[in-house]
Amino acid sequence: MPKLTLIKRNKPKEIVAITRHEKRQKISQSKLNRYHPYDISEALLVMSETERQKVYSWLNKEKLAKVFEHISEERAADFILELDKSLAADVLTLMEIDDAVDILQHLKFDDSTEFFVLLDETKRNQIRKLSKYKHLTAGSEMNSDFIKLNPGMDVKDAMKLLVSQANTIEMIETLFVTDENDVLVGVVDLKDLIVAKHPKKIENIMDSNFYAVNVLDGIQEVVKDIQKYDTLAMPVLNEDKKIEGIITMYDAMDIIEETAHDDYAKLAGLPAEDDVYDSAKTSAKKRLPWLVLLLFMNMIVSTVLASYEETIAAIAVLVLFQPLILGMAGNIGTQSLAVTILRISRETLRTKVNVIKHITSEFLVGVINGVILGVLAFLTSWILLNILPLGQIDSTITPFRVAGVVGLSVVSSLSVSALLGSLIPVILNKLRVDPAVASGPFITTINDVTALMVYFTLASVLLLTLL
Amino acid sequence: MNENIDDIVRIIKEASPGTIQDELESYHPSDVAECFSIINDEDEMHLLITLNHHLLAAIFAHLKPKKVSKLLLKVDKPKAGRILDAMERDDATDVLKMFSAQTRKALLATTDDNVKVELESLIHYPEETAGSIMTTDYIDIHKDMDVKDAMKVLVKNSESTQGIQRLFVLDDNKFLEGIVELKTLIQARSPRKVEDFMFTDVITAKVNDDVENVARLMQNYGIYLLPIVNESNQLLGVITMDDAADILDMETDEDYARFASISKEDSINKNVWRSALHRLPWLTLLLAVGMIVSAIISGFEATIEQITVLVFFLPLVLDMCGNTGTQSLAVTVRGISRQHYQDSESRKKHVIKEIKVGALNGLGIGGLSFITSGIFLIIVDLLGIITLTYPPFLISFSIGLSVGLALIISTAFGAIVPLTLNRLNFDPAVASGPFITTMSDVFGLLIYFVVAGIIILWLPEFIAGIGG
Repeated sequence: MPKLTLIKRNKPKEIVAITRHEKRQKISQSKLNRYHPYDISEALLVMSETERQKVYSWLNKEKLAKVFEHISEERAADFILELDKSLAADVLTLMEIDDAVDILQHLKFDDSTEFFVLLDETKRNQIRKLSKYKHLTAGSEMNSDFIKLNPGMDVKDAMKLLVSQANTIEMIETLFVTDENDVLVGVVDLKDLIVAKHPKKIENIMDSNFYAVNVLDGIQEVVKDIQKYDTLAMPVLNEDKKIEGIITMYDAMDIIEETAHDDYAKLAGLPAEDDVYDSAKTSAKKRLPWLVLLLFMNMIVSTVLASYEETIAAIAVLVLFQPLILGMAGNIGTQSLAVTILRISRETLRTKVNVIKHITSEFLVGVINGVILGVLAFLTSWILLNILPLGQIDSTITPFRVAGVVGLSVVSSLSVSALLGSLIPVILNKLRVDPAVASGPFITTINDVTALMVYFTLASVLLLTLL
Repeated sequence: MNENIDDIVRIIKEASPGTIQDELESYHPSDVAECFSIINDEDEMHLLITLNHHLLAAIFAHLKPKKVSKLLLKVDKPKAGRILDAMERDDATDVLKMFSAQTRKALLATTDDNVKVELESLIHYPEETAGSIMTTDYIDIHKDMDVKDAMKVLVKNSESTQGIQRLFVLDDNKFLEGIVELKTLIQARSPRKVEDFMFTDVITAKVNDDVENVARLMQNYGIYLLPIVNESNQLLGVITMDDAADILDMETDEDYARFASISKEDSINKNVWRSALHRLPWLTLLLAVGMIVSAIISGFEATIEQITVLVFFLPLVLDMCGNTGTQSLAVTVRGISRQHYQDSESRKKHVIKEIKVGALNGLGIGGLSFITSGIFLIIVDLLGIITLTYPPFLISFSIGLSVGLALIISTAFGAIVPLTLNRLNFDPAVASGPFITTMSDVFGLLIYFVVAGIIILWLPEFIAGIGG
């Protein structure tokens, strides 16, 4: 079982301490600059605004830009407003373009226009280009931080170009070769450039059989390709095969984490961005919509129950096992749902045959577990009904018969829930709706309603009508 | 990229033995690897014989270790050795772990002597540790070297080394003294010693560190090549970012699965019986919990018989509790896995915050439940679906009040339970589910029936008593 081992040094905490207690500014400044931008970004999140102001003034622009790249876009949008306008514009200019766009999109319209006009022309054009692309496409996550070569260049000149740009460019392991129309014609692995001997042209060492993605491709697929082909930097092309940007393996790692959290959050009925650093009020506000939805959906459940009033009034003892049946059905449904969503995201459910196989197997799992648990439920509820000091049970409604109804309900509601849990996400996926939204309130309500109907219908038929 | 697969399969079937190597080399090994699951045994044998060990090693890197182990047994011993030599050390290690000790020894005997030593050392690191996914493939230089000489080492080794983003500065006893980023090296001009521009404040991980923590470290700091050291800071290997990404991918799936109380294997299981068995323990536990809940409800039998209408809103109260508990559980578990709550101050702060969140939502949802259930009751009464024997106001007020109270409690539990379990060294993601479900059900019920009993049955009588 993996335990969460403690990392020995808590660097963000050290940074906070430096800002709070170190009086000599020169010293704190040099101390702070030794920390990794990630640690500084974590520290900013727990600081007060005055403390943050100190940090802003101690770091140079380049470092501050790196720090901002590590902060979630929501918080970064708050922090950027704390900066002096021209400094903010500089930071946005120095940041990776996709991160800068994310921040601008999170700002109020007035603020973002104000920053926007402060940026230089080329940056503005790049940002305009990137903002066009829809969220979760390759275009929206790419950055323009890469080195371009042309095929006729000599390797020596390419190396010179590389040396001159290496400071400002993050990713130098892959270089991109474009023709006069900016069309990507090949990629050069830095290793090949290093071992190449002058005189030799770039076109002789480049690989023209490379992988690339389109700006409109879904980001999840791009991440999968990056992982599959172990690509350090995946070129992103537009319709004319011109290179628009790259997505690095490092970006891919962040995206894996984000999308996984989205799914995870949806399963828990949480908004994806519920942040550890949010105030109680913000958190409450973020979680409220799901709960309100659940509340209204639950009125359907109440209606279903109200329609069984006679049965309930006649056999009050049925209520005892209602939470049990709902709880188990809800859970087996969530289990099926989670397995199905994982399979969809791993793309193992691409063909019709696979889908049918999967649903059948989930249903069978439900039946198998339903039968086993149904028998157990029958036995335990029968024992319970005999030992609990219950009021008048009608002479015809014996513990044995009630337990029988409970057992049968467990069998059938578990089978149905398992079926629904696998069927619903598959259908949603077909309709191009994110299947993960089926989690939370929806599956809970659907399971509740079906399980209750099964339970009380069986009870009315077997206990009341048959007598 | 599916058409690639079709092309490759066609090449495998039709190409002559003389050209197949060249033709397949123009495809990505990952795509060729995918074809191994489609082609028949005869074609597979054909590939194993005609392709050279370099290409086979590249392809094998993209197959599951188990599959590779089966394939290796089909080629002759010397070739198997050459393939293992050509594979990345971490991948080769994973494959070797699949064999019995005897077969492994026989295979290792066919590999190059240096490789054999490296593989033998890698094999012993336990699963889930940094050592188990590291490779011994890295470029090392000495601090006394001149830029030119360091560059020569780089040129000489770059072809055979996977990650060249950084070079590791080691002393004669392999102690890690610093690193040189490739970028810095190519910009440096001779004459200049490595010592003058190497970076000494290196982020490292220990060979026994948990892989998930290591992967997160690499993600947070954007490290493409992480040095793995022993307790005395000797370099043992490196982890590359592609491996870290795979780990992160697997771990996040695992977290997701655990949260839904299924096991990771479940999602890849093809066998129905095994899937069913995997999920059974949790469901059986729920059954036991359910029986406890039943027993508690039976204690309120009298209240229920008097006020049947309460039953209609039982699912509402329990669902709300369950859902808010799960929400705060998810937030907390996520925070724990990102190592946010390492000191008691931050833990306390988090619990207090969650209680506040619970109180705010309790107020909102409680109020809303009061209103909607009130309207609901009036409507069903008017429609004649049910006949109310108690004033709808009292009923819906007790529903609203109990939803509000229950929400606060379950939100608090959602934060306290995983934090406590983590302190006790249990995995909070696995163990919290059952606890939260039980607690929110039990407390939800108790609050609901007690509050309803007091407000609907006891309060009117009490007031009447005062009035009379």
